[in-house]
Amino acid sequence: MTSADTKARDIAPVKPSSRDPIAQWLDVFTSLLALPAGESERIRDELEDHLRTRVDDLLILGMSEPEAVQKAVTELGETAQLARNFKAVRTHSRRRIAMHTALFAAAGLALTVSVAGFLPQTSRAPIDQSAVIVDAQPEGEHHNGMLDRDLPEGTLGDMLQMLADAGNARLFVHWGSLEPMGLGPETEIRAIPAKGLEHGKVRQLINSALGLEGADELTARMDGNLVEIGSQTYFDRVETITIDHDISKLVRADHVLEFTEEASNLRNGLCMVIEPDVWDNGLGSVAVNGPILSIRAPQRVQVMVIDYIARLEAAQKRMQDGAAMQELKDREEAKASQEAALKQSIESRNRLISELEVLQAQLDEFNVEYWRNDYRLKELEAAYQNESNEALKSERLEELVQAGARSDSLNAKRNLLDQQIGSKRSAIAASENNLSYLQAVVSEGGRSSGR
Amino acid sequence: MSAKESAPQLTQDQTEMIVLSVLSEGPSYGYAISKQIAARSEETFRVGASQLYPLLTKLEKQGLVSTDWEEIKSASAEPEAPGRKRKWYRLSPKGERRLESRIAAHQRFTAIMNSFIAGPSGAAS
Repeated sequence: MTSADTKARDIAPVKPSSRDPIAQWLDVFTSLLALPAGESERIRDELEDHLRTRVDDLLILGMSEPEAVQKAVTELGETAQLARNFKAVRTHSRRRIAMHTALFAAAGLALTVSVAGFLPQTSRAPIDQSAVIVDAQPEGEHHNGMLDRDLPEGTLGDMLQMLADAGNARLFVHWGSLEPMGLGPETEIRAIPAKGLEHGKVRQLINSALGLEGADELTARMDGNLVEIGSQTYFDRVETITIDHDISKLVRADHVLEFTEEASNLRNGLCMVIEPDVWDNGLGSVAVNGPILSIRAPQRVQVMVIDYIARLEAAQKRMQDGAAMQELKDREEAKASQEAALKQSIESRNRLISELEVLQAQLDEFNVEYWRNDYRLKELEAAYQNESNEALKSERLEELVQAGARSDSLNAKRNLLDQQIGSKRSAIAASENNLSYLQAVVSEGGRSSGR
Repeated sequence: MSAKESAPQLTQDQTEMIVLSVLSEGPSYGYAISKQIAARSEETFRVGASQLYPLLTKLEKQGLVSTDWEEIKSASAEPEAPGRKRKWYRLSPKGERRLESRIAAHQRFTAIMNSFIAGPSGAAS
């Protein structure tokens, strides 16, 4: 290890995307972090070292480089979740300061917890509030996160100052942001029966007592021991950031300037589902550029967007898995159907061949009969020619005529059989063609499903 | 069933104790810490990057570890080309105290559990 402590060094700005897949992944990851540049860069450097060291190890194990990179990145887990984990630590840390301050306050911790209750549930990170509170206590001490007293009737300024004093915190109220709601330090507020209530409920009661809701609600931010209070709209304005979200799993695009119907649907859905007021009031904007969803919005909204995209990706994966299953099922059904048709065609071909054999046998019999009759005919002709007795000659003639008629009859039957055999042979040839086609289809299907 | 298949889930406190314990043997960096945990537990415990790095960040913020950066250059790199940066963690005095506290709590817990396993007579060792 070098002795140079680089804590004080200048941190390089976020690296631009390159063709290096690790660098590309890190670009996406740092965009999701939404932390100050220096902090993001240090996390990026550490994860880059992890990824490249892991890739080196996997290459030694015999993997190809693309495989090694893919495995190393996959092992890190879902990108958005990893970013949330880092952000959760940061938020957690900041909340701990406020909580510990409260512990040493003479007025007790519960009132300060109510200040923490003003913190938006989603603006920093999706952390369970009760877990934060419990974790903030020294070992062996726990409380249930409830206020231990009621808040008396008075002015809003006094009530907020009392909350800050209770946490030994300095207070700064952005009164200008509250003016549009008709609120000021002297605004009267009725008593809040807060004792025994969770801080989130107390926050709701205070906002309710002031008739505030949505973007007008009082909210707070804590930095060290400074508590800032203002309207939600105010904090949305000052905390607006821009993040490029990767939506390549949701939108097919070949060009960064392509705007597809899928992208349009994504944008419309997002604006309808997530904080519609933010977009309607110009506090945020959405642009889709190919596989990049550029969002300018307050941090709390960005977190919701990340969750929304993650949910859509999960749904998309479920659909793709379902489609793949259906395709497999369809292919198996088609294969079974083709095999049944092949079997039927073979049976049909064999039946035609049997029928042909029967016809051929009949034809053979008729041919024998015909040739016998023809021989008989020749004998009768000779007998007739040689006969001198008129009476007998007349009998020979009669026999000759009968034999001739039989010969004509046999010949007609032979011709008919010939025609039937010809038709049968054509049918067999057609059947053979059909059979060859089906055999090829079944064989191809088997190879496809085997891939 | 293999050890990997039946891998128990570490609690956050247990993970913290293990990481601090690894660092008590000397400075280390994230990837090496995760490999050491996997190796020493015979692959039973796997602390993934998504858990380890946020935890290390938390430990740093709490002053339980101090950090230094090292520049890593590959043998094939140009001499003037910047290398990648590696973050080293070192247990701080506060971290040592936290580790002792965690170990003591763990030993108390284990002793209590053993007393149940041993039965009322305490015959089992």
